[in-house]
Amino acid sequence: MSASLFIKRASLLLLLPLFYLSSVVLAQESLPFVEEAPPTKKIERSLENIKAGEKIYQKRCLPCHGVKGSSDGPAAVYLDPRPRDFTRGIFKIKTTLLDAPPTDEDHFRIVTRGIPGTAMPSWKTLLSEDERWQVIFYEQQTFFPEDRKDPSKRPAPIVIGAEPPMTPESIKKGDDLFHGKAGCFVCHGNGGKGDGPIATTMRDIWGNPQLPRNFTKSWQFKGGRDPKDIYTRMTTGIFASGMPSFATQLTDAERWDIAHFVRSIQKELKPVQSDIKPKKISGTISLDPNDPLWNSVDYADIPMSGQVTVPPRLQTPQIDLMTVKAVYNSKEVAFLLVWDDRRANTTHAEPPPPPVPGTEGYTTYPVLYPSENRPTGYRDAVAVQMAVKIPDSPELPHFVAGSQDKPVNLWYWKADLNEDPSVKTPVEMLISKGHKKPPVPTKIQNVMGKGVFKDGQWKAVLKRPLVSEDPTSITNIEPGKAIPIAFHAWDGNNGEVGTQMSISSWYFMVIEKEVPKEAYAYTLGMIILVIGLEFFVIKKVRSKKV
Amino acid sequence: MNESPKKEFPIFWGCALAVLVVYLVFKFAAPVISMWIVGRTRPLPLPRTLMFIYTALALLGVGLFVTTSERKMDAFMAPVITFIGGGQGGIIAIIRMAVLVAFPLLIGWVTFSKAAPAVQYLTSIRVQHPTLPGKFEKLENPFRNPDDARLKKFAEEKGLGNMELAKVKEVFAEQVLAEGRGLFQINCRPCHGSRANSNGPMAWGFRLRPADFTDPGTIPTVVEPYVFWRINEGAFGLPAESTPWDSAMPSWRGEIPEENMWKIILADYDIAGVTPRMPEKHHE
Ligand code: HEC
Ligand code: HEC
Ligand code: HEC
Repeated sequence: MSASLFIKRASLLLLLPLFYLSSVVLAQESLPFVEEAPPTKKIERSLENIKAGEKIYQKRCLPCHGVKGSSDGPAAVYLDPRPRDFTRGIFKIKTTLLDAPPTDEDHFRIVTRGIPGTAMPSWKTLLSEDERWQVIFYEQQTFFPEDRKDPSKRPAPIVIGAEPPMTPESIKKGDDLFHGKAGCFVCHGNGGKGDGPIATTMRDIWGNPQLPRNFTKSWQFKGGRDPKDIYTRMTTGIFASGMPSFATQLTDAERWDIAHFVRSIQKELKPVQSDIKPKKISGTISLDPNDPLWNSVDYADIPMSGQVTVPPRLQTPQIDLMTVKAVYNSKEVAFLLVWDDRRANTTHAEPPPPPVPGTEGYTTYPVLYPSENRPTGYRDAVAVQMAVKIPDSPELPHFVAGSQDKPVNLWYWKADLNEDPSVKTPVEMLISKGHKKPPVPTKIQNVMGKGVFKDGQWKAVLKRPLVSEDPTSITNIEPGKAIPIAFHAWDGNNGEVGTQMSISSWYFMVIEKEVPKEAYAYTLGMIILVIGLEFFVIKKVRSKKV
Repeated sequence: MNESPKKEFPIFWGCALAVLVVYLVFKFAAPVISMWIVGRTRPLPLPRTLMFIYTALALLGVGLFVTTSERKMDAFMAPVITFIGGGQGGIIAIIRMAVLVAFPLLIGWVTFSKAAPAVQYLTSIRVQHPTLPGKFEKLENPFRNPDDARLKKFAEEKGLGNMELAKVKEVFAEQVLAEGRGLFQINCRPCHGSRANSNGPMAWGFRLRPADFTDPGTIPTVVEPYVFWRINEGAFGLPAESTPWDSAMPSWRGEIPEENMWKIILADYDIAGVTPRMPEKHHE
């Protein structure tokens, strides 16, 4: 055995426990932000390079963009937005005006960064710079219309000057323009949550539904979240999506002001670090989501994904974040759940039975095109999921709806019931024993709640007594115990119903146990004891020295 | 000239330095070394408990070393005794006072955290690769080494009648891979990502990340039937030591035909740019 091999083996042994823990480390990996990477050099648009690009395209891009480059890949019909159709040579994220073709550098940038919030991945680490150029040349040469292939015949990009400083005055001016002359709110909404009056009626040039960006979600910007990116989008417009160009309508300075305003309303994510710890309060807990009580309570951001574990699945969820606050008093525990949703859907029609796996025409994910077939007409809803029995071993119920022997509770708030004055509470307490059967109401109904909708955002309070009157079917919330908790959400407008929903992983909720008086006494006693000991030792040492 | 005896490095500081070096090595060097060993792109920090054990071992070693002789013990204790006894001025006097105050507070804090009720967490260490259930062990991927009959049938279907069998095999492989890639992008991409590196758009909400197939610790260390088992049973087939309750991995049995699962397996190794472990030869 060579020395280096020996060292490697020996250190492996030492690090063995690491392997077991590596999956835990992985679990904390980054959120999907992508950084900027301008090309360092450009290769030649030669026949060899185009040929080399074909191989890369077939392996990496074809499953989505397709053989014909017209979004005809096998995966395309399941994706929203649909992969780009290259045959018109029209891009979204670029530095040329309106429907002009992109520059090579625009093309390079988007292949490098990918498009956040869509299926288009970043190819930065997997393809070398040369390989990215090769696939770009291939795409242009093979799929672009004849008159857009030659880069020398394409229009020049816009010129972007130096960014003025982002001062409060600039932001204020941008705010006024956004809600006034520029008219951004018509599509992007008053609070910039993409919920303007015409937001849900828009279509892109391929005839598919197109939603305006929610500016508060900094991680959803397709072309970058910085003022320079926002300025660029506003200047060029996003022709393919129906987002106008403001190059002539607004002055350069005005566009920078608006860009600063849009940057200023972006939210910073605060992913929950460990547990959800409700805050203790002394008074009663109001059901009003706007009660000032909540202002002093810390929040946790819970990332949500589409439920794609069990059929029927949803891989195009609208709700990707749930902001949670929690409080408790001596009798009750309550949550304030806040999530963005462009429209309040307060009516509900029961969905048809889901397609059965294995039958003719069954697909593992819903086919989204033609988009007219997508269901709507369901209610908005949200649910808090808790294990019915607080586990006494590391084993938890499965995070998707529990199982027969490890059931979960759902505190299921429904927007249609919220509007119905005849019901006592819009929250149903349900018990779920696995995803194969729908959840059923428990005998005791003990959750109260109320939701309000404003400017593209729902806020709902859900509240119940700490003590369960029926611990066999409803969690008994005991202080000092780590209670598994997860969240579900449905956007009715997006056809979300049943297991087609947004879902979070398990977290833990902990209500702290009160510290007993003895603990303080022990501590004080110990400190006094140690101080005494110190005096004794010093005395001893000194007397020896003399 | 005075011939002074060779001055020894003070034993107390030597020991302190040794413990510090051990600590620093595990804190900063080990993550980098382990990154090099497992072939990851970022350092892997040592878990707290391990850190504690290694540092405790270093302290124990120092203790053993110091107590080997009376002389060493005295030399070790001398600076401690001078320090506790006081009488040194300046900054040392201030440090001494700070230590004398901090020590009881520290003990008080430890007592308090022991006496106050702690929340009970019952977490377990996750085993990524539990044992493969026996009935899957002997399976083979029918598309990796297709037999002549299959190739002939394929050639017939595609009208490649007079092509050499070796060439047919290439066309066949390319075709199967293309189908597999499509199926992977449809079914697995939402979580595992279009580059099979666990960065799919649905991965963001799952605290137990979808497996990163480019990581040598995932599919490259298992045989193909192992992957076949995971696709079939997903989270729901895992034993308790693999925390099935946290896993979002679907069970695809009944939804994806078995033939297509084998095609997907070819594709996921190909997309990730890795190869499966070869099964050990069975004894005759
Ligand atoms: C998993 C599916 C998928 C794969 C694989 C994929 N793309 Fe895309 N791509 C998309 C989607 C979806 C969009 C459209 C996003 C949108 O409209 O916002 C897109 C858009 C694009 C755009 C247009 C950008 C713009 O500004 O309009 C380019 C260029 C592109 N992809 C290149 C590539 C290349 C090159 C590859 C292979 C190396 C690739 N894509 C692989 C899904 C994919
Ligand atoms: C007619 C409707 C409409 C108006 C008016 C409009 N937008 Fe948009 N905007 C859109 C749509 C639709 C999108 C989403 C495009 C997409 O996702 O492909 C969008 C996207 C954007 C983006 C997206 C950036 C990214 O990287 O994802 C920015 C920035 C933006 N708009 C800024 C503005 C500003 C600033 C104004 C006002 C000056 C404005 N928009 C006015 C419809 C509009
Ligand atoms: C809902 C998201 C999701 C989808 C969709 C999904 N997986 Fe997974 N997969 C996971 C998660 C999470 C893990 C890690 C936990 C585990 O091992 O169960 C995983 C683990 C795996 C593993 C185990 C790797 C190892 O080394 O232990 C394999 C193999 C795998 N997936 C294959 C697939 C294939 C093939 C598909 C598509 C047919 C697929 N997965 C679809 C989420 C998903």
